[in-house]
Amino acid sequence: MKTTYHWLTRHLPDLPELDQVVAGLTAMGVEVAATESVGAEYATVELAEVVAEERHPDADHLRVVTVVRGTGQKTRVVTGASNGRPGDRLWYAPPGTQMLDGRTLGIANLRGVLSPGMLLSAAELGFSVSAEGGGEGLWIWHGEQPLGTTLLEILGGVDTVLDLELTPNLAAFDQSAIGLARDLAAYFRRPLPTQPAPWTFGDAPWIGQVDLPHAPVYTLTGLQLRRSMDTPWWMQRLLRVVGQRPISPWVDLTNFLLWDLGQPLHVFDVDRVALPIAVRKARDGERLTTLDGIERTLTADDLVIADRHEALALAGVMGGRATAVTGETRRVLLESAHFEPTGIYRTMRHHQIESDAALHFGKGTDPQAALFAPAALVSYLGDCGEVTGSRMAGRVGERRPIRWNGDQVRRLLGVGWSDEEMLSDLARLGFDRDASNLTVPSYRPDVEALHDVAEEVLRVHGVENVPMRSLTGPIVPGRRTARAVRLHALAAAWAEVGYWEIVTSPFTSAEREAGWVATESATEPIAVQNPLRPEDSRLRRSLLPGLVETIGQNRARRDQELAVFELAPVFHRRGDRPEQQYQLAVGRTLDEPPPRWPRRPPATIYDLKAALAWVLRRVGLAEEFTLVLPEALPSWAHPGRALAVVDPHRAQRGVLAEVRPSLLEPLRVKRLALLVLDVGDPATWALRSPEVARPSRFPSSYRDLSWILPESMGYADLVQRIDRVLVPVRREFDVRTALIDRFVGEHGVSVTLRVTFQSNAATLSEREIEPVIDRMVSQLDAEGIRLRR
Amino acid sequence: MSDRQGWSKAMAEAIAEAESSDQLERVRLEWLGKKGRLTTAMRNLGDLPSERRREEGQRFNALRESFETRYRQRRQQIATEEEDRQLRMEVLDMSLPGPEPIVGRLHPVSRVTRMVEDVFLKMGYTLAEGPEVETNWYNFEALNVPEYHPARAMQDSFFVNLPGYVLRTQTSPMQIRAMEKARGTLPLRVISTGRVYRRDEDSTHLPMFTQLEALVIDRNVGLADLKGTLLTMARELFGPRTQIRLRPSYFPFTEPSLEVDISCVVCQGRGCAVCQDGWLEILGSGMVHPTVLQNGGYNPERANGFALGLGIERVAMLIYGADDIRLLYQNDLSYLTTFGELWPGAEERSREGNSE
Repeated sequence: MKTTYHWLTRHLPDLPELDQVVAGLTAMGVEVAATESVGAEYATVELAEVVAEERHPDADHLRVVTVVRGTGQKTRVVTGASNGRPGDRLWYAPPGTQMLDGRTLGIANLRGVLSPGMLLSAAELGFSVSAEGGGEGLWIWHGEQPLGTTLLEILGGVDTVLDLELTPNLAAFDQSAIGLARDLAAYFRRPLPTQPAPWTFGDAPWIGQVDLPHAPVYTLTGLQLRRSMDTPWWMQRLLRVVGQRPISPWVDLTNFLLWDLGQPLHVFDVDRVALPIAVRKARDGERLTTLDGIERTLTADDLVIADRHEALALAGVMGGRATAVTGETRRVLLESAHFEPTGIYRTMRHHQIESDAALHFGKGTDPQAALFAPAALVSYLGDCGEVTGSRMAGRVGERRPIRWNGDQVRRLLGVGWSDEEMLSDLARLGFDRDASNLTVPSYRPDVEALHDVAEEVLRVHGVENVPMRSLTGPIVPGRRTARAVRLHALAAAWAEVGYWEIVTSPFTSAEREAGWVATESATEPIAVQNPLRPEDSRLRRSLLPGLVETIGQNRARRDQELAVFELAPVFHRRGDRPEQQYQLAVGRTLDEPPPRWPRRPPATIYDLKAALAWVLRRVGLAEEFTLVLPEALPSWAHPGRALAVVDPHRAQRGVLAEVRPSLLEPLRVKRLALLVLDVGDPATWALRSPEVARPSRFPSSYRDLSWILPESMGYADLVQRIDRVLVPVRREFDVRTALIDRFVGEHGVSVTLRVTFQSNAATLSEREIEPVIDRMVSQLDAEGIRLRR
Repeated sequence: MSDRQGWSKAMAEAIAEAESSDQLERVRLEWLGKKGRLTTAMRNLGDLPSERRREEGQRFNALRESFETRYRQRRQQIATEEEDRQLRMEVLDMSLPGPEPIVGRLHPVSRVTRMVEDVFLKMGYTLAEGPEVETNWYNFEALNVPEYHPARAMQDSFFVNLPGYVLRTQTSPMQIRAMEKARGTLPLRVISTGRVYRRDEDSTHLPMFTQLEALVIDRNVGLADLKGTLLTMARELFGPRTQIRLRPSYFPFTEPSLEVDISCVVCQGRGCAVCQDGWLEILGSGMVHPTVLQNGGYNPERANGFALGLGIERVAMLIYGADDIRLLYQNDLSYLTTFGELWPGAEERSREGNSE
């Protein structure tokens, strides 16, 4: 909300300097988002009197008016207005005046006549006046001030607007100048501001049935204007600087009191109401056109103000169009009420009407204010207004006192403040103490129990006065969960092998998932009902779309090799419950890296495969996830370059594959390898670490052997067969094989393995090695694998 | 034997004059080869009478030792010279760059999350977990945010097509889950970290961000303990000179509630473009609301608690001097790799304290 320094001084006359006020508000929990000085534009606008007028020699619609100013100097000004006759006192803005619309006045040449500055209308100065004051024409001033008086002097000088951020609890009592003044009074140790005396209501038969649980206090006051009136200038100015446009006295006065006393008021045009008024729940389907021109269909949850025939207004939220007042309305019914906040808030949310009234009532208001706000309004009408009757229904309920327990407050705050100190803090905010009970002032609907009271003590006593204390008791360092530790280990391992972690949003859409999430096996997605944009309308079931988009976005910006991964939850719908599972997605571009010295060959899918194997070993998952030739592939996968990741039950958990090049064009990538793996719940992983063998002290020997494979076989077939031969040998000593070359020659695929022999007991000799090689050659030969000599 | 007096000098000169390994080898052969002068002379010693033989033998031995010492030194010298000549042929342009090492790193937000977690783990907090699609009960009602309460509007939520569920708007639901799991035992010290979602997007807000929540429940926990914890945390994260400022605020799940500012990490609280007034808003905290304690199975008459919630991205931006929160999640590799180079140790530097 906004308020001004001058406005606050109306309730707290000896207010300290602005910066102290800002500090005080901050300390009381009100965030001052900005301050702005206003009114300097009125410093040069001065009162002048018309002494002569003549027709403009060259334009029918213009006049040349001579005014005498405070200095006695006479100035000729051209005006298009038709009012402002000799003897009238007007507001004159000399050259150099900065206008509200941003213009700076100069000396204008209007059809050959020089016109320094301007004579001004009320609207040009940001005011609204009745016909008597000139209406739309020049503002005719009827005040007694001497010529030369500036408008700024009349308005009481430059003011400062305070832009405040109020949390919902503060909104219940600080959303008005008087509320803020109460907090400041407590902070500066001044007497609390006085509030108007309650209005004494009469017995006009205007109110019928009232839904008292939802409208505990409901009052109507009949008011009538004897003659047209202007909203007081100071009030118009305060309203304008806090962002309210002055409209008409009824609207301005109720607006002012809303922000001054925190009491929303409403006026009905009495001539359009069929009395008596009822306050009741709407009928389901009942219709009402609100002030904003929207026809609304009401439900039985909405509280309405109705007359004998129909709903007139959404209680506490917005008035109806049919009974709205205009600038000409003389006879009104002023409604001042107290509504139960939750109902108002629900109606506000349901109809999406964030009116100032609803934002007050819905957050809680002072029921007593419903009784004194009419008195305040009547006082501003002065002798223009007349009360035609009034009536009140309901009553202000008694507040349940709160039992005071100083020890409990001290314990909660961790302080040693005495009861006396704390009760005096509370007294400054208007809390009364009677024996062991605290009476909460009616304007603090938010304070319900002792912990709320503790917060008030804290606000007034100052958080800075609470001591610093360290938690005591034995401290054992805390632990992460196994799930968190394992997830981190998996992510960290990918970083270790040169992959960069990315974090993408979980929002996606059917279009973005298309092609990347297998349709046949897919579970139902969870839809987001209020997405920020259509492409974020569901929760992801796979990390692939986000990963691939990230690769594409990076490639769109620059040519670079990319190796990225994400480890994050994906979401599925299981019946009417959500299911959250961790998934790993890894991507690596395989195309030619950008030219760079020294040249590096492009990565291959084997790089990703090897990285995966290393990572799985690193985190102990080598037995949990293994790679096999796939039985089924997702549609994005290259059918000849893919592997499935399976768990110990041979269930497929993921895919490692190149992507079909046709899918890559939009990404500016020629070749891309992807891995997607549903890692399950890390807490249930069966982790295995390799056995740590004692290294042999004896030198190893090796043989390089080249094999020519039959067409039907791959590398794994060769290794499998060699391993079979080696099973008995490995009981004696260590034999390892490593692929050192592979090429396709005239006889087929040639694979060269280095077979390394090493013993823990002795240096191995030909005698031990040769028989193994011979057995290998003869057994493999029997299966069609020939040794290349 | 008359010129033996000159042998020592002659040998030294010949060794010194040898310019290459070959020449030096020839000198060695001349003197110590099978037919070398010294070898021959020593072989002939047998012809001498025993007395002379011992004298002469000692003299020859001394000569040989002297030769060998000089020879070894010279050989080493020549080897070094020859290697130098060879290496000068192998000059590289050392101003050329090398290939970039292949490295990867965790996302900055992951790293900072872990770092903040570590600060609390050391203080005896244990990690708790919870789902991202959360029930309304855990996310709102249990936390004292009834439906149609203005506090719900403080966090604009994403709703899903599962009745009773919402994308969690805060890590606080894990408070309730942790309390339920603890079944009323004291003391309880937990943290929870994770992604949270709010329907909000501008230069300082993201629809997805990361929070850390800490919760303590014990018999005699007061606001003073919260204050002490906040200072410890701030100094662990931002350096030992960091100051904190607390302001009364409002969160539905705490009462009293406090907004916490730290002295600006850029200007040390003097006031600058980042902080304006020397203070940076960093987190919200407060004493756990009695309703929340009750909903978690604790009796508010017997135990109190405090809670605090911290935005990890905000901490990341302060520690690393990043100015736009959105860049963190654009996953632009050139941005992430820049931090990859800058950031090792940046975490530690920030914790070493201010250099002044």
